[in-house]
Amino acid sequence: MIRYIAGRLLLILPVLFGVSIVVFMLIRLIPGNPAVAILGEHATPELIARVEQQLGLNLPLWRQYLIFLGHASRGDFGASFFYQESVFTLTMERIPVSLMLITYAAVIGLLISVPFATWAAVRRETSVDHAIRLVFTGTIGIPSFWLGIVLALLLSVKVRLFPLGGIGGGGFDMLWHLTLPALTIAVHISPILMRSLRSSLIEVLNADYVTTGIAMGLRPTTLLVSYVLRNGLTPFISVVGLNVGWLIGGTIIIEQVFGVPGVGSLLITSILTRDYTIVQFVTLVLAFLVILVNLLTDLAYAAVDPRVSLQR
Amino acid sequence: MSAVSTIAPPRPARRWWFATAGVPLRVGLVGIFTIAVLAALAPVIAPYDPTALGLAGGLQPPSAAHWFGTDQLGRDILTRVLYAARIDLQIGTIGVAIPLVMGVVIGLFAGYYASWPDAILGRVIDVVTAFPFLVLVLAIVAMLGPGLKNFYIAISLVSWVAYARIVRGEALGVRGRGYILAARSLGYSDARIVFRHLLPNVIVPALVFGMSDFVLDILAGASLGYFGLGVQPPATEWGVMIAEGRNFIVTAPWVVIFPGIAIVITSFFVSLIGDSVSDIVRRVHAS
Amino acid sequence: MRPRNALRVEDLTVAFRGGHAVVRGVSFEIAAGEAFGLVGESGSGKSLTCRAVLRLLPRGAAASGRVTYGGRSLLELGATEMQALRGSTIAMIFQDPMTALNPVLRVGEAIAQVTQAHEGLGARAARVRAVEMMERVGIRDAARRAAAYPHEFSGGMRQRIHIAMALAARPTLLLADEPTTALDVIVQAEILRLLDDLRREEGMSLLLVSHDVRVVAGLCDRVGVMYAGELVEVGPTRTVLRRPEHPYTIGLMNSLPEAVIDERLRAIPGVPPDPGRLPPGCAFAPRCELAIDACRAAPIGMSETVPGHWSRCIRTDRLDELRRGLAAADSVHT
Repeated sequence: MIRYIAGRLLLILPVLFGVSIVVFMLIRLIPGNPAVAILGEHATPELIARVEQQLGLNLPLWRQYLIFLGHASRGDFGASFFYQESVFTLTMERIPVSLMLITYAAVIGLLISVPFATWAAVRRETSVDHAIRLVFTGTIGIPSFWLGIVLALLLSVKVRLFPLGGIGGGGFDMLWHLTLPALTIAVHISPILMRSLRSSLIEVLNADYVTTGIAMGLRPTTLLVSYVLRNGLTPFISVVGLNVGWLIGGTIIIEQVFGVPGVGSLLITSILTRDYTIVQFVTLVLAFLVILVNLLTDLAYAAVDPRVSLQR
Repeated sequence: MSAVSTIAPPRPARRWWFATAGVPLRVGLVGIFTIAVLAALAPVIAPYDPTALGLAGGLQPPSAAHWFGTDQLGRDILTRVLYAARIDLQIGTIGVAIPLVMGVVIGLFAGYYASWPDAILGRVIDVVTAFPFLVLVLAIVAMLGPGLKNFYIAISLVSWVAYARIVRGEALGVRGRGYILAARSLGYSDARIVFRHLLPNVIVPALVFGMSDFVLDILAGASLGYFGLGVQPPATEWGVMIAEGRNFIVTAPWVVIFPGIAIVITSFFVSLIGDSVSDIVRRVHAS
Repeated sequence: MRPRNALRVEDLTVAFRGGHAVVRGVSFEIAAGEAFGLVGESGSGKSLTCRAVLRLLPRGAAASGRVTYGGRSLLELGATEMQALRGSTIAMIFQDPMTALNPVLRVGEAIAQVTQAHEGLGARAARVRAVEMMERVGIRDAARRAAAYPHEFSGGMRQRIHIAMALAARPTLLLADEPTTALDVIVQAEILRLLDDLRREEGMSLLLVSHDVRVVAGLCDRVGVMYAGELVEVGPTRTVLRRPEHPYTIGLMNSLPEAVIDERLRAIPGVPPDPGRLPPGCAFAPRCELAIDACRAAPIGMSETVPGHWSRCIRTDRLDELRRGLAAADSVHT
């Protein structure tokens, strides 16, 4: 297992480097002088010169990249002039909230998708199946921000079921506050989840070994658990993992809509205030998050499916 | 069990699925065609001028004079929804067209030549797909500045990868086939082989993906519009309309409802088409 | 209490929804302890007939007619009764060992589940029985190998495990749908031998379906030949294969590689009819040398040409002409 993990990590290394290069290049996309842009209204000739020197803007590109890597390895991703804080700390202290929201949304998303996907798969090609697929197809087109404000209107204003925005105090109060945002994100990703789960389950249901199981007269519970779900389990794992990019995208929007103090709203606000260093770092963090989730998904797959050899 | 599967369903059953398979497809095509026509004819059929400020006061509920009501500046919402359709449909179309062309060409050549071009493309794909789509688009727009043009640049820089990945996979699979080898032995130029022999056989999955990408782009455009990072006023776009109306959602929900419904319906029709086509392609492959 | 009784299939018809019958009025009996073979080409309906007994038909297919075992009408049983019956009274094994076993279950566990479902054994007792079964089907080092997964076994081994599962709850009737088709020739012979041994030891009845006459010949007491969804001939294996009473069976025997005379394989000219476009009379008439107007006019019923031997042909008196070239019967070991 250790060797499997090590092998996977080795494969990821080039991607991590590639991601860092893309992020590095982002700042250089800014038309005009990046230093001026970063400083924004704080730009004075001395500060401009200092930032230019920090970034090494007069040096060849590859040396700039090395400087960037050097700073990064020390956790120095610049400072936000808007917040007067290190970009690193600013972002990291908001990560837990975002992770909570993402997880919460994923759980609700699965709670919505799994029953419908199972129902549709078991009743495939019937009107139930078509109806379910139709409804979820319609759901894909619902803009998440619109859904957010509509749900807020209905469940927070008209009917005072949930609080409007923020994250409240700790523990259950936080869950209470995060429910509407998580629900919105969940509805947003549910069509993707439902579609994947349904086709995986159909594949399993059609499998020869399921016919064998039926022919052996196994009890329905045994069939469901040992034959259908144990084989259908792997898609359950990978479906969320593979679609984490979509999940994160939705989370960013919803955090901003509901005023959840996570990494997503930080990103949007920073874009609006032209706080480039934060934008750069948050992008990096989110990409790393995706890579990490994909790695964990791979490992979970390997742990669950005996056919995947852990030797390689 | 394979002996059983060789028994094909008898003919009446087959005719039945064909007829009903057509329904979602037809509904989608008719729907999107209608929207496109309405959008194109907006200047002609819209009851009012989209920027005309109302004299009667704003936030009027839907009525005979204003089917969709008016917004806080007294502008007719139906008119604005129609005009916004032009922008949003354009976003979907261009947002697919440019990456499609870029991605297909790159993917084709990489898949055809294999070896190092494909290896490089593979790495590039891995890197770009490590970023959540919206995050990368937002980041690029953040650097370049808001606006429709920069939005297109951002989309193009990010989306082409998905098409390249699809086409490259297909091309790698097909490049060893007989008709390709035959063409090469005849001394045809690489470009000719790629475009006239490889392309037609690998384009379909890319086109199918293009349809869901269309929806994705409209949603991305609307999302950016909502945050003020996309289409800039005075141009109208559904997401921008929703943003403008969001403060009045309690007292005048129609300002926000109708543009949202417009997005949902448009995406729905396009998704129907995309699903139907991929269904058909799958059935063709299975036979 | 398991009745040692006959399987009686009466007028079994299987059709797909809105379509034509692909199994038409099939009737036969299998006595307790008897091995019955069902041969025919792909599409003859033999597989569906076998599956219909346990109601394991593919989606969209429905069976009608009567199937009785031990006095119970199988087609009318409810779902719970059916589940209790399958695996315990009547068991079935399938064609492709590579896909027939659940890939995420250890083989011992898979076999144990069958005994737990039907004999209410506790987990440990079930596992012990599973290992016993694995040994009986010839898997060496069974205790250790029970912890392995299907993908760690070869095709032949997997088929043995499949058989172990089927026999774990000691059924009195085993249905085998092309159990050796996907296996190498040598492994085929081993599996058939295994089936034969097990059958005799348990006193089990066997319905063996195959497109290969040779497979059926060595194992079965009686054999039925199917063509275009119908049984065209039924009788003791020896006589059906050595002295067929139907032109199709003769053609079948002649087309075996063993039957090569003057270095030419003799196939039956033409192809089987489409289930949707069956001729009004005998389904084989269009391809038959002996066909006359009476053959084509109306459906032909089964008649007992020789005691215990039935044929759906009215031209049996003229069959000697066709039987002349029948060299194959001797080489097919009966």
